[in-house]
Amino acid sequence: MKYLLLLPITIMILASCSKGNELQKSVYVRDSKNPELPAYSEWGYNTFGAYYDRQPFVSNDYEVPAKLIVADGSTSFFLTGQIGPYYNYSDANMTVTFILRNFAPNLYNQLILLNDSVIDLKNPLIEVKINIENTESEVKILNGKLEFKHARNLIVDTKPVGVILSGYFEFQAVVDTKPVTMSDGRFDVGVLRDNFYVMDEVD
Amino acid sequence: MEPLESYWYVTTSDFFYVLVTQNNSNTELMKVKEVTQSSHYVGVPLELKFFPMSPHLIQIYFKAGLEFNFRVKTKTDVVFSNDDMSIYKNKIADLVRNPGNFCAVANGAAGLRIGRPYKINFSLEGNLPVVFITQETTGVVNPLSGVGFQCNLYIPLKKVNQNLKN
Repeated sequence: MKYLLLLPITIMILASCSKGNELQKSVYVRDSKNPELPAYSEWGYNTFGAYYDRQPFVSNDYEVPAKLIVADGSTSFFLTGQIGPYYNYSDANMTVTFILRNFAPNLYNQLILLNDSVIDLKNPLIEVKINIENTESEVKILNGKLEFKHARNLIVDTKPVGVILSGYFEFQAVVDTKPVTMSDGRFDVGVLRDNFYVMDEVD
Repeated sequence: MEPLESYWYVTTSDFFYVLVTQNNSNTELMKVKEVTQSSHYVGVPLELKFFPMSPHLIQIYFKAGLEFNFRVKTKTDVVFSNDDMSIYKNKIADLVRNPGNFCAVANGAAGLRIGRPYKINFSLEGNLPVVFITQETTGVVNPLSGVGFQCNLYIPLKKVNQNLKN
């Protein structure tokens, strides 16, 4: 019999010393079933994706994928990315905005009220806007839903730093007289101080 | 328990995030710089050596071996980005799987023995390949095969009858 000192394992993940807020960056994990879209996740990966008719509408690395703006007793949930058949810089910019009236949190941590909620986009208190290449279209929702499957406090080193919103969206609408379908929408975004705005405070 | 990969969220800073808990209302992360896991084993080797040439002071040999290792102790250390978090060391250590209690390794080797047979001698051998026969051998990674080298000092405890010498 002999004595072995075996298998010392060290994980050392040391890279460059960027001091940016890592939690604002996107982690794109491809969906195996819909490879043009990010996989559904609930980790705060700061990604979203959907099919706008047949074209992928996805988050990218140079636009903040989600912003929440509270103003006039409403909350606007902006998803900004690009639309096009290729995941590159030549794709058109696109923003879909869900405006939730009668919901006006003062602090981002109040967003956890959205946990496990399904919002019928036909509800008159809800408005949807679509903006492609800085041109806003008139949107008439035919049917659809926005589901916040989970809204969780994000705690880092025992301190709350934000909220992770993750869920699904889909709708059919008439956009500038053209019927379109937004399908397979999913989002997983972190809402921190940097992308949560209360406009009433400015006034 | 979810796959281990889910717990690590690598960043470009000098730390990475470890998911400590996720429940219906909270996702709790901790910033960790380093996780080190060391395991100590007691091993029983079983070896067959083949010496292609007649005995010399320096002699080449080939070896086929099996090694049965039993885990004695495992220690996991965590270095946090924020030193104040070190009180939560056990929380992170608990997320790292412990290796299995037993691991078996097969290897082939070629070596050089310096010294006479049945006298004090020294040998140096290169192991190629080393194949892990058992799965879940370690907690953090799961090695399948590798290479290595081994130094041996052979000290006979009992004088061998001259007739048994080759």
